[in-house]
Amino acid sequence: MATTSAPGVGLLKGLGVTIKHLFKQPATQMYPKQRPDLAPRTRGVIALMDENCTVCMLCSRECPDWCIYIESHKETVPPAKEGGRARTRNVLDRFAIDFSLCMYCGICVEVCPFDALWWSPEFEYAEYDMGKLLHEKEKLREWMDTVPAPPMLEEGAVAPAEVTDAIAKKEKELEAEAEKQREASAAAEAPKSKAVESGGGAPKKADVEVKGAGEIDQETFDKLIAEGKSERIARSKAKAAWVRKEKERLRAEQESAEGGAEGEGAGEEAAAKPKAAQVEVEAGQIDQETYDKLIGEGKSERMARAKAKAAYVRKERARLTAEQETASAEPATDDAQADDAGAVEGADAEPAPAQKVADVHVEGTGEIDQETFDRLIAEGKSERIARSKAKAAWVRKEKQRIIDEGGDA
Amino acid sequence: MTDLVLEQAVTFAAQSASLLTFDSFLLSVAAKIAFALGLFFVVPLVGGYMEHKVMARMQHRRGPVEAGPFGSLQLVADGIKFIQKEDIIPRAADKWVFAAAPGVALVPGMLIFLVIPLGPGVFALDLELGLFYALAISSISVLGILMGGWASANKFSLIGGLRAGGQLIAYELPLILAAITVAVQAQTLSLVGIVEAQSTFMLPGTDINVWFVFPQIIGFGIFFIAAMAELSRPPFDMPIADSELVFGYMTEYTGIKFAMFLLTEYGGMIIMSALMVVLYLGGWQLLPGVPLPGCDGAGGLFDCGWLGTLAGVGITLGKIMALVFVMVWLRVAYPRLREDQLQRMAWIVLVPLALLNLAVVTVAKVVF
Amino acid sequence: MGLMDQVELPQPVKYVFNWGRKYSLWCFNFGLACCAIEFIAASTSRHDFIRHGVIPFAHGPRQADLLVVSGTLTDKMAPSVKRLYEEMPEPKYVISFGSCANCGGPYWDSYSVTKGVDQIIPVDVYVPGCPPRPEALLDGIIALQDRIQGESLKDRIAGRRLDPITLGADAPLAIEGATGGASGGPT
Repeated sequence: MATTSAPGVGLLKGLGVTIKHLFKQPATQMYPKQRPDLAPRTRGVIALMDENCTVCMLCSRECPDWCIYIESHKETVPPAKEGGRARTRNVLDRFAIDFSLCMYCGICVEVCPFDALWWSPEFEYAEYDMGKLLHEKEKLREWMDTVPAPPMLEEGAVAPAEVTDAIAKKEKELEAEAEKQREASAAAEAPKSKAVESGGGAPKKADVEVKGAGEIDQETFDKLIAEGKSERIARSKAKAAWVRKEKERLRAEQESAEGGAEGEGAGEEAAAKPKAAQVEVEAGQIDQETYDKLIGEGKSERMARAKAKAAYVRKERARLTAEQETASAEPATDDAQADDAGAVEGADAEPAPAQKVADVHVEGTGEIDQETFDRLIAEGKSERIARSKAKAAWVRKEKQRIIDEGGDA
Repeated sequence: MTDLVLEQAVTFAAQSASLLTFDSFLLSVAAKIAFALGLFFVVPLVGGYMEHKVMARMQHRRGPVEAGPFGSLQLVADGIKFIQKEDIIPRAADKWVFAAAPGVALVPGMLIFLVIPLGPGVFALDLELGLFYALAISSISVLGILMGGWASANKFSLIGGLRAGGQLIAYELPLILAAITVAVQAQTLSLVGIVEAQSTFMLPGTDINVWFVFPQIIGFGIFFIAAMAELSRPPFDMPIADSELVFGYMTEYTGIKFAMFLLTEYGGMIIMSALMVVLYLGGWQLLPGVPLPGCDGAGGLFDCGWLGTLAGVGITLGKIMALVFVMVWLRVAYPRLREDQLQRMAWIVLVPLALLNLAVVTVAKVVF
Repeated sequence: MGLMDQVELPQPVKYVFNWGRKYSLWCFNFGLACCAIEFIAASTSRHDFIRHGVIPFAHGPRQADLLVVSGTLTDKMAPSVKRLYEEMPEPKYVISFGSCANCGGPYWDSYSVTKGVDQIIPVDVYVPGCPPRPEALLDGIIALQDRIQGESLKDRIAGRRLDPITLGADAPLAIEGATGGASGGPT
């Protein structure tokens, strides 16, 4: 610096640099509040898709740290067809990874021939006790939900054989279905005339064929939009509603044509009510009303407290059950609507085979359910616990949402 | 002996009235002690918080966020923690000296706050020898540091303590020379008097009122550098250079004793800034020649209503914080000097410069 | 500390005291391997753990509250860690950062590596990873702060394990040589 400028200029330059940074936006990520932007293939934790695991033990044997514990037993599967040979297969009993020992080399993930092990970017599992870093397969399965979707293929790449096969299969199915539809519509024309002749044989609800897809029920649509639903959801629900109405109308026409009255087949199946016992209530609080009453009756404080606590749990459970019912009612009807909309096959619309919650993958890690978070904080839980619970709640909700949408679409 | 001290105390006694002087003697004493203690325990915390935040922002960070609103209670949390820490005294240490050292370093800092004027009438005492008192008391804290370094029975502590001693003695000289120059120009040693002198000082031959920082810019620079070195602030933190001497004279100190040393450092920052404000930056004047609202006294500095008093205190504290900001700024920008560079700078550059400054100002004072 | 570790404080005072300890964790980094780099990353402007009151200004162990052991602890180094921990004043906390510090990690069958720092000093929080992300350290710190906010100092001191965990059946880990004082001041 002395060679290029007068003495002291360098000192001023240093001051200039620091003061410039004073007015810049800091680069800090506010971690617990703001999620870190992780690379998509971050090696945070190893997740297990236990349905895929065949207990081949490759991962366990290749692990440099010997930190994977697998236990299984053999099961005899009866022959697939008469006179065949009974087969044995391995059933996974225990799959545990000791993350205190794991060196995150990823060899197990590489070596797994059945894609049972995956990298998840989740990293928040510090523990107070080292033993708790040994995670069993239930926990590993939970982490599976946080695994990001596989990367897109390159443009122009040949799709893998499994994918093309699956697509071909699906297309075939769809074609068969369309074929069936055509037959069904032809059949639907027939009973009309036949019914008039015979005067009996009431047609079932599902026999009614509704033509034209894409019309929506404007009323429902407006209502849902007003309720603040997204346009996409509103549109799909309105579409379902239109189909339902149309069906209703057609059947009414049909019935009047028949001159015979027929009880409506209940299309919608009510969701199974959750039992009271299934609802978890956090105990510990007391029902003030009961408490006061008992105290007034001259009961001892201890007795009153115990009874009030029980009363609180009862009330809370009743409340939660009611809430759950209202909550589950909606998706249930959605499913039913979806059935109606797509109903072409005969017989009363069966409740859709509930999509298994576990089958749904939720992308995006780290988002939290603000409502749950606020509630837990208000309850006096620590922020860290509240955050992790809220995260779980978010994943649950997200899954439910995906299932709902999937049912409609 | 006692009579003599009393007599001197009377002759030193106040030039102008302090707001904290009441009819009752005990009440006045209590109010003044509370004033000094309050200043000593609150303002350094604000300065420390500012250091945290400014340093963080200059380093592209955020600084404390979680403890209290915007992390403002970070230093309070530190204090609460230090109270709870175990008090370790090394077996080989000289126990009594070891225990007394932080107090010896801390108390002078509190005492200086007695004479620092924050606003019109807002000071505990206006000694006739205020400047002398402040400089004399401030050099006592080096004794505490030397005691701590020696008594710890730790080689790092000892070297750190000796370094601190050498550094403080070296920089005391330019500091005092620069301060004397101000006293020469103001023709008084009273700190309130110096503020007053600044409000009436006109540039020779003109009608423009300026603070002492303008005629004595060199003196101000010398005072500032020497003050930083006195406080062992980076870039002059050789006594606690952690790459060489773990933590210097504080190496063996834990808990509340360490906190006292720390408070001494932050308090020192405030004291030195306050002295600079009083000596060079016009005290509680907003701008040169601008009287405070509601002040009728000379130069618009005295006999203020409550509004003027509050404004005066606010202005002084604002100037102090601005100087603390500059200190933090220098800390962030510059690396630490080497020990020989430090001594060279004191004896070869600053002392001659300060003497020259004194000579020039004295001659100018006589001529004009 | 004296009284504080023998008497249970009243609730409000305890809350304030715990709060103070929670947000003032002067931190001493015992960097031993690659994990130390991640620790340093956690102190830089992107992650900046001073936000949480973890202040890396502790020049020596005497001023530290939190010891972060990050990296492979060898048997040769173990006495130093033990000694450093003993030099810290109570209440002190330890975070074991990374697989090596947790239980030896990749060196689980090495002849020279201590299988986990918790064999010589008590550990409060274990952060998994090899090396863990800086955010994982932040998560560990938040977990530790949770623990501090809820703890009772009296119980903590009472439950303090005085003897080191013994390895194998017989001899305790050889740490006698540590207290002799090879460098630095007397303990």
